[in-house]
Amino acid sequence: MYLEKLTMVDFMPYTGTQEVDFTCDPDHPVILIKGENNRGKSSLFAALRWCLYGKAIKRSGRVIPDFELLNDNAFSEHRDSFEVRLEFTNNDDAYILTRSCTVKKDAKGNRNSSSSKVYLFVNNNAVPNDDISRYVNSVLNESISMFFLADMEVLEGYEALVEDDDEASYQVKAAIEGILGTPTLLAIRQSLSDITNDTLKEIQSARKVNKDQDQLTSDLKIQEDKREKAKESYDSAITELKSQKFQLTELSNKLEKITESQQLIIREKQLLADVARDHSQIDKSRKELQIAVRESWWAPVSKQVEEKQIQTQAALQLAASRETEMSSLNYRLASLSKSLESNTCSQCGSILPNDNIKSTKTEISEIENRIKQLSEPVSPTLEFLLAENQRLGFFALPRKADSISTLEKQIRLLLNEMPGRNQEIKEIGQKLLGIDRNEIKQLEEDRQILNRKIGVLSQIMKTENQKIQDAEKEIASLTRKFSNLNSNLGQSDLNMEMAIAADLATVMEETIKVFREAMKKRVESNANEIFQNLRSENVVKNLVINENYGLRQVDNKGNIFDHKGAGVAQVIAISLILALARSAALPSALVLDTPFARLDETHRDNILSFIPTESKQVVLLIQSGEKISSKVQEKFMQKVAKEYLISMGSNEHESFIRRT
Amino acid sequence: MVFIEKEDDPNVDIEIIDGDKTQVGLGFEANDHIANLETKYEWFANGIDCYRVAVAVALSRNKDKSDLGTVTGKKNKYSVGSIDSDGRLRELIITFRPDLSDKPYYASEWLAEIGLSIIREELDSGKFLSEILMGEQKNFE
Repeated sequence: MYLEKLTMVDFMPYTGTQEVDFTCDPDHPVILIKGENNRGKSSLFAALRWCLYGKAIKRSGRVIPDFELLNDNAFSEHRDSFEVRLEFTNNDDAYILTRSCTVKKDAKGNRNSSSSKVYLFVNNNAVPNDDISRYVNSVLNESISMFFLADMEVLEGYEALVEDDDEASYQVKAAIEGILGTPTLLAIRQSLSDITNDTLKEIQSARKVNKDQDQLTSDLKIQEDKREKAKESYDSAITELKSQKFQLTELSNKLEKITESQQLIIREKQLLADVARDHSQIDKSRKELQIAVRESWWAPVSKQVEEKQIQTQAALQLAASRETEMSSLNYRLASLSKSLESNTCSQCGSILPNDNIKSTKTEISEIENRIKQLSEPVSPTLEFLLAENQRLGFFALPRKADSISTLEKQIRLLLNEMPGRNQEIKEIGQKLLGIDRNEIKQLEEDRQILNRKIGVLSQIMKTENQKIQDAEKEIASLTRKFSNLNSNLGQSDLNMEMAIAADLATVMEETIKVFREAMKKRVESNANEIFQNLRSENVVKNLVINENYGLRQVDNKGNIFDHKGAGVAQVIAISLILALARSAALPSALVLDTPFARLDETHRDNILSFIPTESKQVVLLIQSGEKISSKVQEKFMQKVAKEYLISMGSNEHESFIRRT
Repeated sequence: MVFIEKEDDPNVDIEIIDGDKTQVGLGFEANDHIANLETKYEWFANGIDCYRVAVAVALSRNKDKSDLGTVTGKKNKYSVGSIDSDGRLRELIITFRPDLSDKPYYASEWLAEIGLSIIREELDSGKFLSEILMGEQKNFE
């Protein structure tokens, strides 16, 4: 990361908007910023950190609340927000990071809280808010920022390098490794570890597959056994069937030879059955006929009965009409007699004229004659006719009489067929004379038995064939399942993959170890070279690096020499910072705040002579009054691209930074 | 009133009710006809059925006692109760032969004798029973 421009608006002592241009070139890599004590050097340094990470830290280590970062004058002038914008480049990408904060006041008007916002544009493209922190840390991780944004008055972090086991040294070590690129290797190792874990899972899966395969193999074996058994049964049935069919053929051949006799026997059997059936039918019909004859025995006179019934009916009607006429005549006679006696009309009651009396007498005479005729006895009498009619009713034929004719015809038909059948039976009997019927019967029975056996065998074959098909279907299904399982990665492949991953992890572990050692040696070598250039005493000959990248002094005799003054410690810290900058995987600008705080002139000169060569961009924040020897200053100033001076404004709460 | 009188044939004892018979008998020839009809044609279940049909046949042909030839070997065969349990036989005779109404069972004997002879003769000649009974023409051979 290389800085381009810093813009501060009402940030800490910097009232209003103030800018610092950090652009430089390889021949002039130094940006020099001078200022008196408490004028704002560290505030500018804080502005960089706050803009990048959202935290401003005091030298005591305390995080300064955001609302305290608002310029006092601005606050008193009722401006409630401040902002820092940093423009920088990284791998040819242009970044613009803007962080602003609005301060809130309590009821008493004191600032007590704040809310901040941050925006990042990379090559003029806005970065989503949630990704900003990741982007910034990818450019310069906060954990290693102490080596590139180095506040040299805070030596605790750097002094921890010489400690072996405490938490601070561990964090510093992690940060140093971050600079050197070890995390990349560690990430690779992690990837290998992940691969190993994934492979282990696959192996477990493969074992399950193997278990499934075992089950399928077992199932397959069962099905194959079933198929084999069914095939055996099927084959056995086929053999038996062949044998039975052979026997059947032999029998059939024998039977063919005696076919005529056999057919005669069959015909005879049929005829006998027909005769028996007809006899049975004749018996049944005859019984019905006998009953019908019994119940209608007077049938022969039925026609006469009908004729008599007609005659009787006619006689009865005649008798009835005579009775009616007689009655009518008697009535008329009575009426006429009455009229004649009273000499009045029986209808209108008027006196009868003489003519009418005469005609009435004539009519009475005629009626009396007719009555006389009608009263003469007739034969047969009505009583006789009624009795006759009743008797005739007694001889109505029952319905069964109708069946007599049908039954007789049926019986006669059957009886007519009998002689023919009997004749045929007789002729067959004659033809079969000398034929062994029992033998034919036995052969026929044998054939039927064989046919039954063949039927059973055919059924067995059908069943066994079905079993074979079922088993083959099951086997096909299991084989498909099996091949599906086989299509997965085999365990041997997985084992190989596991072994490769494990080998690579081992190689990687070794590589990391070697890399670490190499980097430590490199840092140690660079630190020693830098230290040799920066040191002024001869007490310390060399620096040796420990496990935590801590640098220790070694005296002329090669013994660890732990005693050191504040100046020496700072020189060692600077040596380490510069050594790390040289060894860094991603080179970056160096921002050193107050690097000479504890150093004498000799060391300052050494550092100023040396430091411009260590980075493409070095930002030095130094005290205005720092003494620098003229011979060094001239050479150093040739390397300076821009020089700024921080000065006090109208009051002590106001600072300005201006290029000189 | 029940009384018994001897028939002309001294070998036959005839029981008479109110002057009519309580047992009817047939001569040898008639009995032979019955046996023949029973065994040869089997149209009749028993002799009683033959007897009654024979009476009806004789009546239908308007036969008279004079048509009967000599009857020999006459024997009592059936009781009147057997041959006419429902009184229909008696009624039939009275209806068609009122002149025989005082002794219908007596008349039934000679009627049966004549009838049996007719039946046998006609059956033997190829007539169908239904022709004899119902007067139908046989319509098949």
